[in-house]
Amino acid sequence: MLLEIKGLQVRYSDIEVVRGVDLEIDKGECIGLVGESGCGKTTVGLSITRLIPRRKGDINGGRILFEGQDLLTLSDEELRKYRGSRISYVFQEPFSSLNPVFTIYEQLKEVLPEDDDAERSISEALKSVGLQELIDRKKVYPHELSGGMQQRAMIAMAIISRPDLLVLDEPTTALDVTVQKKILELVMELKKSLGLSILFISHDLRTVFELADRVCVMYAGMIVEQGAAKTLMSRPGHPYTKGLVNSIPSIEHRKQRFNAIEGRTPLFSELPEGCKFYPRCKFRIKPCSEKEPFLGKFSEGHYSRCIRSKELIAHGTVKDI
Amino acid sequence: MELLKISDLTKIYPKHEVAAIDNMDLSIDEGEIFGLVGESGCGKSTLARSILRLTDVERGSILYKGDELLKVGARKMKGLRKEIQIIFQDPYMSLDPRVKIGKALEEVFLIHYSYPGPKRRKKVDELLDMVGLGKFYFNRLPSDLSGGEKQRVGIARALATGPEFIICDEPVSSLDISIQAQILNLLMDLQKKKALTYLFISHDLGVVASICDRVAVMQSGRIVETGLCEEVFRNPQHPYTKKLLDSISLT
Repeated sequence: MLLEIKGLQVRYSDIEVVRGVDLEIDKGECIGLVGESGCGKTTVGLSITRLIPRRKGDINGGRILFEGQDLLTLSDEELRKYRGSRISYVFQEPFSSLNPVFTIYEQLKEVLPEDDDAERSISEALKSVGLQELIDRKKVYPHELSGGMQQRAMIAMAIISRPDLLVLDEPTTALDVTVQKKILELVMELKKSLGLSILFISHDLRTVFELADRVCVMYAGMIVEQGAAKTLMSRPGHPYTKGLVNSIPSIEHRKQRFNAIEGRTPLFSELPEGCKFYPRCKFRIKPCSEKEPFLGKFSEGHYSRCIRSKELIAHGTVKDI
Repeated sequence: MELLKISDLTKIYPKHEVAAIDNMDLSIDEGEIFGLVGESGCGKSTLARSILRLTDVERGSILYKGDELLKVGARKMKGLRKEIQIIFQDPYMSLDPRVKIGKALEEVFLIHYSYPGPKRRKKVDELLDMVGLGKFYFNRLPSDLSGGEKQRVGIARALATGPEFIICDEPVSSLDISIQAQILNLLMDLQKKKALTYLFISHDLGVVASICDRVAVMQSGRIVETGLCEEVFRNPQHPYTKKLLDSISLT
Protein backbone atom coordinates (compact mmCIF):
# COMPACT_ATOMS: atom_id res chain seq x y z
CA MET A 1 0.00 0.00 0.00
CA LEU A 2 1.44 3.37 -1.02
CA LEU A 3 -0.73 5.57 1.15
CA GLU A 4 -2.86 4.67 4.13
CA ILE A 5 -4.92 7.32 5.85
CA LYS A 6 -6.23 6.05 9.17
CA GLY A 7 -8.84 7.75 11.30
CA LEU A 8 -7.94 11.23 10.07
CA GLN A 9 -9.53 14.05 12.05
CA VAL A 10 -9.15 17.73 11.22
CA ARG A 11 -10.53 20.74 13.07
CA TYR A 12 -10.95 24.29 11.88
CA SER A 13 -10.92 26.30 15.13
CA ASP A 14 -13.38 24.32 17.26
CA ILE A 15 -15.25 22.60 14.51
CA GLU A 16 -14.35 19.14 13.36
CA VAL A 17 -14.62 19.00 9.56
CA VAL A 18 -12.92 15.68 8.88
CA ARG A 19 -14.36 13.24 11.33
CA GLY A 20 -12.40 10.03 11.03
CA VAL A 21 -11.52 9.23 7.42
CA ASP A 22 -9.85 6.00 6.33
CA LEU A 23 -8.52 5.80 2.81
CA GLU A 24 -6.00 3.61 1.05
CA ILE A 25 -4.26 4.08 -2.25
CA ASP A 26 -2.28 1.31 -3.87
CA LYS A 27 0.57 1.79 -6.30
CA GLY A 28 -0.66 2.77 -9.73
CA GLU A 29 -4.23 3.14 -8.53
CA CYS A 30 -6.61 6.05 -9.11
CA ILE A 31 -8.91 6.72 -6.19
CA GLY A 32 -11.78 9.15 -6.61
CA LEU A 33 -12.94 11.26 -3.69
CA VAL A 34 -16.30 12.86 -4.38
CA GLY A 35 -18.71 14.93 -2.40
CA GLU A 36 -20.38 18.31 -2.45
CA SER A 37 -18.73 21.57 -1.45
CA GLY A 38 -17.87 21.71 2.20
CA CYS A 39 -17.85 17.97 2.78
CA GLY A 40 -14.15 17.97 3.68
CA LYS A 41 -12.70 16.37 0.56
CA THR A 42 -10.16 19.12 -0.15
CA THR A 43 -9.12 19.11 3.51
CA VAL A 44 -8.36 15.38 3.28
CA GLY A 45 -6.16 16.02 0.24
CA LEU A 46 -4.30 18.89 1.91
CA SER A 47 -3.80 16.91 5.12
CA ILE A 48 -1.66 14.31 3.38
CA THR A 49 1.35 16.65 3.38
CA ARG A 50 0.05 18.86 6.21
CA LEU A 51 -0.75 21.79 3.95
CA ILE A 52 -3.57 23.17 6.07
CA PRO A 53 -2.47 26.62 7.26
CA ARG A 54 -1.81 26.56 11.01
CA ARG A 55 -3.92 29.61 11.68
CA LYS A 56 -6.89 27.94 10.02
CA GLY A 57 -6.91 24.53 11.49
CA ASP A 58 -5.01 21.46 12.50
CA ILE A 59 -4.98 17.71 12.25
CA ASN A 60 -5.94 16.40 15.62
CA GLY A 61 -6.14 12.69 15.12
CA GLY A 62 -5.24 9.79 12.90
CA ARG A 63 -2.23 8.66 10.94
CA ILE A 64 -1.09 9.18 7.37
CA LEU A 65 1.23 6.39 6.36
CA PHE A 66 3.20 6.88 3.18
CA GLU A 67 5.11 3.69 2.42
CA GLY A 68 4.72 2.91 6.10
CA GLN A 69 6.12 6.25 7.32
CA ASP A 70 3.69 8.35 9.34
CA LEU A 71 3.88 11.80 7.75
CA LEU A 72 2.13 13.40 10.69
CA THR A 73 5.03 12.65 13.03
CA LEU A 74 7.76 14.07 10.78
CA SER A 75 9.44 17.42 11.39
CA ASP A 76 8.83 20.16 8.84
CA GLU A 77 12.34 19.62 7.56
CA GLU A 78 11.80 15.89 6.98
CA LEU A 79 8.37 16.44 5.46
CA ARG A 80 9.90 18.70 2.84
CA LYS A 81 11.44 15.59 1.25
CA TYR A 82 7.93 14.41 0.46
CA ARG A 83 6.14 17.61 -0.44
CA GLY A 84 6.26 18.36 -4.13
CA SER A 85 8.75 15.58 -4.80
CA ARG A 86 7.16 12.29 -3.71
CA ILE A 87 3.66 13.71 -3.36
CA SER A 88 2.56 16.57 -5.57
CA TYR A 89 -0.59 18.52 -6.23
CA VAL A 90 -2.58 20.06 -9.05
CA PHE A 91 -5.32 22.46 -7.97
CA GLN A 92 -8.42 23.89 -9.58
CA GLU A 93 -7.38 27.31 -10.84
CA PRO A 94 -4.08 27.06 -12.70
CA PHE A 95 -3.73 30.80 -12.91
CA SER A 96 -3.90 31.29 -9.16
CA SER A 97 -1.40 28.48 -8.59
CA LEU A 98 1.15 29.90 -11.01
CA ASN A 99 3.26 32.89 -10.07
CA PRO A 100 2.47 35.67 -12.57
CA VAL A 101 5.90 37.36 -12.32
CA PHE A 102 8.04 34.33 -13.16
CA THR A 103 8.27 32.52 -16.47
CA ILE A 104 6.98 28.97 -16.80
CA TYR A 105 10.57 27.86 -17.32
CA GLU A 106 11.74 29.47 -14.07
CA GLN A 107 8.87 27.93 -12.16
CA LEU A 108 9.61 24.47 -13.52
CA LYS A 109 13.27 24.85 -12.69
CA GLU A 110 12.50 25.82 -9.13
CA VAL A 111 10.99 22.41 -8.45
CA LEU A 112 14.19 20.57 -9.42
CA PRO A 113 17.14 19.92 -7.14
CA GLU A 114 20.14 22.09 -7.98
CA ASP A 115 22.32 19.29 -9.29
CA ASP A 116 19.70 18.14 -11.77
CA ASP A 117 20.17 18.54 -15.50
CA ALA A 118 17.41 21.15 -15.58
CA GLU A 119 17.43 21.69 -19.30
CA ARG A 120 16.78 18.02 -20.02
CA SER A 121 14.26 17.41 -17.26
CA ILE A 122 12.25 20.45 -18.25
CA SER A 123 12.08 19.53 -21.92
CA GLU A 124 11.03 16.01 -20.97
CA ALA A 125 8.33 17.25 -18.62
CA LEU A 126 7.01 19.76 -21.16
CA LYS A 127 6.98 17.08 -23.83
CA SER A 128 5.08 14.64 -21.67
CA VAL A 129 2.30 17.16 -21.02
CA GLY A 130 2.04 18.17 -24.66
CA LEU A 131 3.69 21.57 -24.34
CA GLN A 132 6.61 20.88 -26.74
CA GLU A 133 6.16 24.34 -28.19
CA LEU A 134 7.37 25.88 -24.93
CA ILE A 135 10.69 24.03 -24.86
CA ASP A 136 12.50 26.73 -26.78
CA ARG A 137 10.42 29.60 -25.49
CA LYS A 138 11.94 30.21 -22.09
CA LYS A 139 10.49 33.68 -21.70
CA VAL A 140 6.83 32.68 -21.67
CA TYR A 141 4.81 33.95 -18.70
CA PRO A 142 1.64 32.30 -17.36
CA HIS A 143 -0.71 34.99 -18.69
CA GLU A 144 0.39 34.24 -22.25
CA LEU A 145 -1.08 30.75 -22.04
CA SER A 146 -4.68 29.60 -22.28
CA GLY A 147 -6.33 28.00 -19.26
CA GLY A 148 -5.76 24.53 -20.65
CA MET A 149 -2.08 25.22 -21.32
CA GLN A 150 -1.67 26.70 -17.85
CA GLN A 151 -3.09 23.54 -16.36
CA ARG A 152 -0.69 21.48 -18.50
CA ALA A 153 2.15 23.60 -17.13
CA MET A 154 0.92 22.89 -13.60
CA ILE A 155 0.87 19.19 -14.36
CA ALA A 156 4.41 19.42 -15.76
CA MET A 157 5.45 21.05 -12.51
CA ALA A 158 3.75 18.31 -10.53
CA ILE A 159 5.38 15.41 -12.38
CA ILE A 160 8.84 16.85 -13.06
CA SER A 161 10.09 15.53 -9.74
CA ARG A 162 8.77 12.04 -10.55
CA PRO A 163 6.34 11.79 -7.65
CA ASP A 164 4.67 8.56 -6.54
CA LEU A 165 1.39 10.18 -5.63
CA LEU A 166 -0.42 12.93 -7.48
CA VAL A 167 -3.28 14.69 -5.72
CA LEU A 168 -5.65 16.30 -8.22
CA ASP A 169 -8.10 18.66 -6.58
CA GLU A 170 -10.80 19.63 -9.09
CA PRO A 171 -8.16 19.86 -11.83
CA THR A 172 -10.59 20.61 -14.65
CA THR A 173 -13.45 22.47 -12.98
CA ALA A 174 -12.35 25.86 -14.29
CA LEU A 175 -11.86 24.65 -17.86
CA ASP A 176 -14.11 24.27 -20.90
CA VAL A 177 -15.48 20.81 -21.62
CA THR A 178 -13.36 20.06 -24.69
CA VAL A 179 -10.25 21.17 -22.79
CA GLN A 180 -11.32 19.16 -19.76
CA LYS A 181 -11.33 16.02 -21.77
CA LYS A 182 -7.82 16.60 -23.07
CA ILE A 183 -6.45 17.30 -19.60
CA LEU A 184 -8.08 14.17 -18.17
CA GLU A 185 -6.76 12.06 -21.03
CA LEU A 186 -3.31 13.46 -20.35
CA VAL A 187 -3.55 12.60 -16.66
CA MET A 188 -4.59 9.04 -17.44
CA GLU A 189 -1.74 8.65 -19.92
CA LEU A 190 0.75 9.87 -17.34
CA LYS A 191 -0.71 7.53 -14.76
CA LYS A 192 0.07 4.64 -17.08
CA SER A 193 3.45 5.75 -18.38
CA LEU A 194 4.83 6.90 -15.03
CA GLY A 195 3.02 4.37 -12.84
CA LEU A 196 1.51 7.22 -10.81
CA SER A 197 -0.96 6.76 -8.03
CA ILE A 198 -3.69 9.36 -8.11
CA LEU A 199 -6.08 10.81 -5.60
CA PHE A 200 -8.73 12.46 -7.74
CA ILE A 201 -10.84 14.90 -5.74
CA SER A 202 -13.88 16.30 -7.50
CA HIS A 203 -17.52 17.17 -7.25
CA ASP A 204 -18.00 16.01 -10.83
CA LEU A 205 -19.36 12.53 -10.38
CA ARG A 206 -19.50 11.69 -14.04
CA THR A 207 -15.78 12.23 -14.49
CA VAL A 208 -14.76 10.50 -11.29
CA PHE A 209 -16.91 7.47 -12.01
CA GLU A 210 -15.27 7.13 -15.41
CA LEU A 211 -11.68 7.56 -14.33
CA ALA A 212 -11.28 6.15 -10.86
CA ASP A 213 -10.61 2.53 -10.03
CA ARG A 214 -12.36 2.99 -6.70
CA VAL A 215 -14.55 5.82 -5.49
CA CYS A 216 -15.06 7.22 -1.98
CA VAL A 217 -18.14 9.33 -1.35
CA MET A 218 -17.85 11.89 1.43
CA TYR A 219 -20.62 13.56 3.38
CA ALA A 220 -20.24 15.86 6.38
CA GLY A 221 -16.61 14.98 6.99
CA MET A 222 -16.88 11.21 6.68
CA ILE A 223 -16.72 8.59 4.00
CA VAL A 224 -20.25 7.25 3.63
CA GLU A 225 -19.59 4.81 0.83
CA GLN A 226 -16.64 3.28 -0.92
CA GLY A 227 -16.44 0.85 -3.82
CA ALA A 228 -15.82 0.27 -7.49
CA ALA A 229 -17.34 2.99 -9.67
CA LYS A 230 -19.63 0.50 -11.41
CA THR A 231 -21.00 -0.80 -8.14
CA LEU A 232 -21.74 2.68 -6.83
CA MET A 233 -23.47 3.67 -10.06
CA SER A 234 -25.67 0.60 -10.41
CA ARG A 235 -26.11 -0.67 -6.86
CA PRO A 236 -25.26 2.08 -4.39
CA GLY A 237 -25.55 1.07 -0.75
CA HIS A 238 -25.94 4.54 0.71
CA PRO A 239 -29.00 6.73 0.10
CA TYR A 240 -26.73 9.76 -0.39
CA THR A 241 -24.79 8.06 -3.18
CA LYS A 242 -28.08 6.97 -4.70
CA GLY A 243 -29.36 10.55 -4.57
CA LEU A 244 -26.22 11.88 -6.19
CA VAL A 245 -26.35 9.32 -8.98
CA ASN A 246 -30.01 10.20 -9.57
CA SER A 247 -29.06 13.86 -9.87
CA ILE A 248 -26.64 13.39 -12.77
CA PRO A 249 -28.29 14.95 -15.82
CA SER A 250 -28.08 13.04 -19.09
CA ILE A 251 -29.77 12.48 -22.39
CA GLU A 252 -31.21 9.20 -21.11
CA HIS A 253 -33.18 11.24 -18.62
CA ARG A 254 -35.32 13.43 -20.85
CA LYS A 255 -37.76 15.99 -19.47
CA GLN A 256 -38.37 14.25 -16.18
CA ARG A 257 -38.03 15.63 -12.70
CA PHE A 258 -34.86 14.55 -10.97
CA ASN A 259 -35.24 12.22 -8.05
CA ALA A 260 -33.22 14.75 -6.09
CA ILE A 261 -32.03 14.89 -2.49
CA GLU A 262 -34.10 17.36 -0.50
CA GLY A 263 -32.67 20.05 1.74
CA ARG A 264 -29.09 21.20 2.03
CA THR A 265 -25.87 19.91 3.51
CA PRO A 266 -25.79 20.59 7.25
CA LEU A 267 -23.36 23.08 8.73
CA PHE A 268 -20.57 21.41 10.67
CA SER A 269 -21.59 23.41 13.72
CA GLU A 270 -25.11 21.99 13.53
CA LEU A 271 -24.59 18.33 12.70
CA PRO A 272 -27.50 16.15 13.76
CA GLU A 273 -27.23 13.26 16.18
CA GLY A 274 -26.96 9.81 14.68
CA CYS A 275 -26.53 9.45 10.93
CA LYS A 276 -25.55 12.85 9.54
CA PHE A 277 -27.57 12.31 6.39
CA TYR A 278 -30.70 11.27 8.24
CA PRO A 279 -32.65 14.58 8.04
CA ARG A 280 -32.46 14.51 4.20
CA CYS A 281 -32.82 10.77 3.76
CA LYS A 282 -35.85 9.27 2.04
CA PHE A 283 -35.28 5.90 3.63
CA ARG A 284 -34.79 7.03 7.21
CA ILE A 285 -36.18 5.03 10.09
CA LYS A 286 -36.18 5.76 13.79
CA PRO A 287 -32.83 4.22 14.76
CA CYS A 288 -31.07 6.42 12.17
CA SER A 289 -31.41 9.46 14.41
CA GLU A 290 -29.97 7.69 17.42
CA LYS A 291 -26.63 6.23 16.48
CA GLU A 292 -24.14 7.04 13.76
CA PRO A 293 -23.78 3.90 11.66
CA PHE A 294 -20.34 2.41 11.06
CA LEU A 295 -18.83 1.74 7.65
CA GLY A 296 -20.01 -1.82 6.98
CA LYS A 297 -18.61 -4.18 4.38
CA PHE A 298 -21.15 -5.51 1.88
CA SER A 299 -18.97 -7.24 -0.68
CA GLU A 300 -15.29 -7.26 -1.57
CA GLY A 301 -14.20 -3.64 -1.58
CA HIS A 302 -17.72 -2.25 -1.14
CA TYR A 303 -18.35 -0.39 2.11
CA SER A 304 -21.32 1.70 3.15
CA ARG A 305 -22.30 3.67 6.23
CA CYS A 306 -26.03 3.03 6.47
CA ILE A 307 -28.15 0.59 8.44
CA ARG A 308 -30.33 -0.04 5.40
CA SER A 309 -27.52 -0.63 2.90
CA LYS A 310 -28.18 -4.34 2.69
CA GLU A 311 -31.79 -3.82 1.56
CA LEU A 312 -30.78 -0.98 -0.74
CA ILE A 313 -28.11 -3.03 -2.49
CA ALA A 314 -30.30 -6.11 -2.82
CA HIS A 315 -33.48 -4.42 -4.08
CA GLY A 316 -32.35 -1.04 -5.34
CA THR A 317 -34.79 0.46 -2.87
CA VAL A 318 -36.18 -0.26 0.59
CA LYS A 319 -39.60 -1.07 1.97
CA ASP A 320 -41.27 1.59 4.06
CA ILE A 321 -41.47 0.64 7.66
CA MET B 1 -46.16 29.95 -32.17
CA GLU B 2 -43.03 32.01 -32.51
CA LEU B 3 -42.29 34.14 -29.47
CA LEU B 4 -38.83 35.44 -30.26
CA LYS B 5 -37.25 35.76 -33.65
CA ILE B 6 -33.67 36.87 -34.10
CA SER B 7 -32.33 37.57 -37.56
CA ASP B 8 -28.96 38.68 -38.90
CA LEU B 9 -27.88 39.75 -35.44
CA THR B 10 -24.29 40.98 -35.25
CA LYS B 11 -22.46 42.34 -32.26
CA ILE B 12 -18.86 43.48 -32.43
CA TYR B 13 -16.80 44.40 -29.40
CA PRO B 14 -14.77 47.33 -30.71
CA LYS B 15 -11.50 46.43 -28.98
CA HIS B 16 -11.35 42.95 -30.39
CA GLU B 17 -12.77 43.57 -33.83
CA VAL B 18 -14.20 40.07 -33.87
CA ALA B 19 -17.90 39.52 -33.99
CA ALA B 20 -19.10 38.15 -30.64
CA ILE B 21 -22.34 37.42 -32.44
CA ASP B 22 -21.97 36.86 -36.14
CA ASN B 23 -25.06 37.12 -38.37
CA MET B 24 -27.14 35.02 -36.09
CA ASP B 25 -30.62 33.69 -36.80
CA LEU B 26 -32.66 32.01 -34.12
CA SER B 27 -36.30 31.55 -33.30
CA ILE B 28 -37.90 30.41 -30.08
CA ASP B 29 -41.46 29.11 -29.84
CA GLU B 30 -43.91 29.91 -27.11
CA GLY B 31 -43.84 27.44 -24.22
CA GLU B 32 -40.63 25.67 -25.10
CA ILE B 33 -37.34 25.31 -23.30
CA PHE B 34 -34.77 26.27 -25.86
CA GLY B 35 -31.19 25.29 -25.03
CA LEU B 36 -28.13 27.21 -26.14
CA VAL B 37 -24.81 25.43 -25.64
CA GLY B 38 -21.25 26.39 -26.35
CA GLU B 39 -17.94 26.95 -24.63
CA SER B 40 -16.82 30.08 -22.82
CA GLY B 41 -16.38 33.04 -25.11
CA CYS B 42 -18.64 31.74 -27.86
CA GLY B 43 -21.08 34.60 -27.40
CA LYS B 44 -23.91 32.95 -25.49
CA SER B 45 -24.09 35.55 -22.74
CA THR B 46 -23.69 38.40 -25.19
CA LEU B 47 -26.78 37.10 -26.93
CA ALA B 48 -28.68 37.12 -23.63
CA ARG B 49 -27.60 40.67 -22.96
CA SER B 50 -28.53 41.79 -26.46
CA ILE B 51 -32.07 40.46 -26.15
CA LEU B 52 -32.54 42.42 -22.94
CA ARG B 53 -30.95 45.49 -24.52
CA LEU B 54 -28.26 45.46 -21.85
CA THR B 55 -25.76 45.88 -24.63
CA ASP B 56 -26.01 47.50 -28.06
CA VAL B 57 -25.63 45.53 -31.24
CA GLU B 58 -24.28 46.49 -34.65
CA ARG B 59 -27.16 45.30 -36.77
CA GLY B 60 -29.94 42.80 -37.03
CA SER B 61 -33.38 42.32 -35.64
CA ILE B 62 -34.89 40.84 -32.49
CA LEU B 63 -38.64 40.44 -32.75
CA TYR B 64 -40.53 39.67 -29.56
CA LYS B 65 -44.22 38.97 -30.25
CA GLY B 66 -43.83 41.11 -33.34
CA ASP B 67 -42.22 44.06 -31.51
CA GLU B 68 -38.76 45.03 -32.72
CA LEU B 69 -36.81 45.10 -29.45
CA LEU B 70 -33.93 46.95 -31.02
CA LYS B 71 -36.17 49.84 -32.00
CA VAL B 72 -38.79 50.22 -29.25
CA GLY B 73 -38.63 53.35 -27.11
CA ALA B 74 -37.56 53.42 -23.47
CA ARG B 75 -41.12 53.49 -22.12
CA LYS B 76 -42.24 50.51 -24.17
CA MET B 77 -39.07 48.65 -23.30
CA LYS B 78 -39.73 49.14 -19.59
CA GLY B 79 -43.09 47.47 -20.10
CA LEU B 80 -41.50 44.66 -22.06
CA ARG B 81 -38.95 44.10 -19.33
CA LYS B 82 -41.78 42.79 -17.19
CA GLU B 83 -42.34 40.09 -19.77
CA ILE B 84 -38.71 39.26 -20.46
CA GLN B 85 -36.61 38.36 -17.44
CA ILE B 86 -33.25 36.82 -16.74
CA ILE B 87 -31.71 34.49 -14.17
CA PHE B 88 -27.94 34.84 -13.86
CA GLN B 89 -25.29 32.26 -13.10
CA ASP B 90 -23.91 33.63 -9.90
CA PRO B 91 -26.78 34.39 -7.57
CA TYR B 92 -24.46 35.98 -5.05
CA MET B 93 -23.17 38.56 -7.50
CA SER B 94 -26.68 39.57 -8.44
CA LEU B 95 -27.74 40.31 -4.85
CA ASP B 96 -26.71 43.35 -2.82
CA PRO B 97 -24.98 41.91 0.26
CA ARG B 98 -26.44 44.58 2.55
CA VAL B 99 -30.04 44.31 1.44
CA LYS B 100 -32.35 41.77 3.03
CA ILE B 101 -33.86 39.23 0.66
CA GLY B 102 -37.40 40.50 1.22
CA LYS B 103 -36.43 44.12 0.60
CA ALA B 104 -34.55 43.22 -2.58
CA LEU B 105 -37.63 41.46 -3.93
CA GLU B 106 -39.96 44.27 -2.83
CA GLU B 107 -38.04 46.65 -5.01
CA VAL B 108 -39.43 44.99 -8.11
CA PHE B 109 -42.97 45.78 -7.02
CA LEU B 110 -42.04 49.32 -6.19
CA ILE B 111 -40.33 50.03 -9.51
CA HIS B 112 -42.72 48.28 -11.85
CA TYR B 113 -46.05 48.57 -10.03
CA SER B 114 -45.71 51.25 -7.29
CA TYR B 115 -47.52 48.96 -4.87
CA PRO B 116 -47.95 50.20 -1.28
CA GLY B 117 -45.91 48.52 1.49
CA PRO B 118 -48.34 45.88 2.77
CA LYS B 119 -49.21 44.73 -0.72
CA ARG B 120 -45.54 44.46 -1.62
CA ARG B 121 -44.93 42.36 1.47
CA LYS B 122 -47.77 40.03 0.56
CA LYS B 123 -46.47 39.64 -2.98
CA VAL B 124 -42.96 38.88 -1.75
CA ASP B 125 -44.27 36.24 0.66
CA GLU B 126 -46.08 34.60 -2.24
CA LEU B 127 -42.92 34.62 -4.33
CA LEU B 128 -40.81 33.13 -1.55
CA ASP B 129 -43.35 30.33 -1.21
CA MET B 130 -43.42 29.76 -4.94
CA VAL B 131 -39.67 29.07 -5.09
CA GLY B 132 -39.73 26.84 -2.03
CA LEU B 133 -38.15 29.22 0.47
CA GLY B 134 -41.03 30.37 2.68
CA LYS B 135 -41.68 33.76 4.22
CA PHE B 136 -39.22 33.47 7.08
CA TYR B 137 -36.52 34.17 4.51
CA PHE B 138 -37.81 37.74 4.23
CA ASN B 139 -35.41 39.15 6.81
CA ARG B 140 -32.34 37.13 5.85
CA LEU B 141 -29.26 38.61 4.22
CA PRO B 142 -27.71 37.03 1.11
CA SER B 143 -24.73 35.90 3.20
CA ASP B 144 -27.06 33.75 5.36
CA LEU B 145 -28.11 31.75 2.31
CA SER B 146 -26.53 28.76 0.61
CA GLY B 147 -25.83 28.84 -3.13
CA GLY B 148 -29.02 26.96 -3.94
CA GLU B 149 -31.14 29.25 -1.76
CA LYS B 150 -29.61 32.32 -3.38
CA GLN B 151 -30.45 30.95 -6.80
CA ARG B 152 -34.03 30.46 -5.59
CA VAL B 153 -34.06 34.17 -4.74
CA GLY B 154 -32.73 34.89 -8.24
CA ILE B 155 -35.61 32.88 -9.67
CA ALA B 156 -38.13 34.63 -7.40
CA ARG B 157 -36.87 38.00 -8.59
CA ALA B 158 -37.24 36.96 -12.20
CA LEU B 159 -40.78 35.71 -11.56
CA ALA B 160 -41.90 38.82 -9.71
CA THR B 161 -43.18 40.68 -12.75
CA GLY B 162 -45.08 37.67 -14.08
CA PRO B 163 -42.88 37.21 -17.15
CA GLU B 164 -43.63 35.01 -20.13
CA PHE B 165 -40.08 34.62 -21.33
CA ILE B 166 -37.09 33.94 -19.07
CA ILE B 167 -33.48 33.81 -20.13
CA CYS B 168 -31.64 31.41 -17.86
CA ASP B 169 -27.93 32.18 -18.22
CA GLU B 170 -26.04 29.23 -16.71
CA PRO B 171 -28.46 29.10 -13.78
CA VAL B 172 -27.07 25.92 -12.22
CA SER B 173 -23.41 26.07 -13.18
CA SER B 174 -22.12 27.16 -9.80
CA LEU B 175 -24.24 24.72 -7.80
CA ASP B 176 -23.48 21.34 -6.32
CA ILE B 177 -25.03 18.43 -8.12
CA SER B 178 -27.80 17.64 -5.62
CA ILE B 179 -28.75 21.33 -5.47
CA GLN B 180 -28.50 21.57 -9.25
CA ALA B 181 -31.11 18.82 -9.50
CA GLN B 182 -33.40 20.68 -7.08
CA ILE B 183 -33.14 23.93 -9.04
CA LEU B 184 -33.70 22.17 -12.37
CA ASN B 185 -36.80 20.55 -10.87
CA LEU B 186 -38.03 23.95 -9.73
CA LEU B 187 -37.42 25.51 -13.15
CA MET B 188 -39.23 22.65 -14.90
CA ASP B 189 -42.17 22.81 -12.46
CA LEU B 190 -42.53 26.57 -12.89
CA GLN B 191 -42.31 26.33 -16.64
CA LYS B 192 -45.19 23.88 -16.74
CA LYS B 193 -47.31 25.67 -14.15
CA LYS B 194 -46.97 29.11 -15.69
CA ALA B 195 -46.54 28.11 -19.33
CA LEU B 196 -43.21 29.93 -19.47
CA THR B 197 -40.74 30.00 -22.32
CA TYR B 198 -37.06 29.62 -21.46
CA LEU B 199 -33.90 30.38 -23.33
CA PHE B 200 -31.64 28.08 -21.36
CA ILE B 201 -27.96 28.93 -21.78
CA SER B 202 -25.42 26.42 -20.52
CA HIS B 203 -22.06 24.88 -21.24
CA ASP B 204 -23.23 21.63 -19.64
CA LEU B 205 -24.59 19.36 -22.35
CA GLY B 206 -25.99 16.92 -19.83
CA VAL B 207 -28.17 19.60 -18.26
CA VAL B 208 -29.37 20.89 -21.62
CA ALA B 209 -30.06 17.36 -22.87
CA SER B 210 -32.16 16.55 -19.85
CA ILE B 211 -34.46 19.58 -19.77
CA CYS B 212 -34.60 21.28 -23.19
CA ASP B 213 -36.98 20.72 -26.11
CA ARG B 214 -34.81 22.21 -28.82
CA VAL B 215 -31.17 23.14 -28.77
CA ALA B 216 -28.74 25.34 -30.70
CA VAL B 217 -25.00 24.80 -30.62
CA MET B 218 -22.95 27.97 -30.75
CA GLN B 219 -19.32 28.40 -31.75
CA SER B 220 -17.47 31.69 -32.22
CA GLY B 221 -20.62 33.77 -32.49
CA ARG B 222 -22.42 31.47 -34.89
CA ILE B 223 -25.04 28.79 -34.53
CA VAL B 224 -23.50 25.70 -36.07
CA GLU B 225 -26.34 23.30 -35.49
CA THR B 226 -29.88 23.47 -34.25
CA GLY B 227 -32.74 21.03 -33.88
CA LEU B 228 -34.72 18.88 -31.50
CA CYS B 229 -32.62 18.06 -28.47
CA GLU B 230 -33.01 14.36 -28.89
CA GLU B 231 -31.94 14.40 -32.53
CA VAL B 232 -29.01 16.75 -32.09
CA PHE B 233 -27.60 14.77 -29.20
CA ARG B 234 -28.24 11.32 -30.63
CA ASN B 235 -27.23 12.10 -34.15
CA PRO B 236 -25.06 15.23 -34.29
CA GLN B 237 -24.25 16.54 -37.76
CA HIS B 238 -21.75 19.32 -37.24
CA PRO B 239 -18.16 18.36 -36.30
CA TYR B 240 -18.17 20.83 -33.41
CA THR B 241 -21.32 19.29 -31.92
CA LYS B 242 -19.67 15.90 -32.25
CA LYS B 243 -16.57 17.19 -30.51
CA LEU B 244 -18.62 18.63 -27.65
CA LEU B 245 -20.60 15.43 -27.19
CA ASP B 246 -17.47 13.38 -27.42
CA SER B 247 -15.88 15.34 -24.62
CA ILE B 248 -18.52 14.49 -22.05
CA SER B 249 -17.86 10.79 -22.29
CA LEU B 250 -14.28 9.86 -21.69
CA THR B 251 -14.27 6.21 -22.51
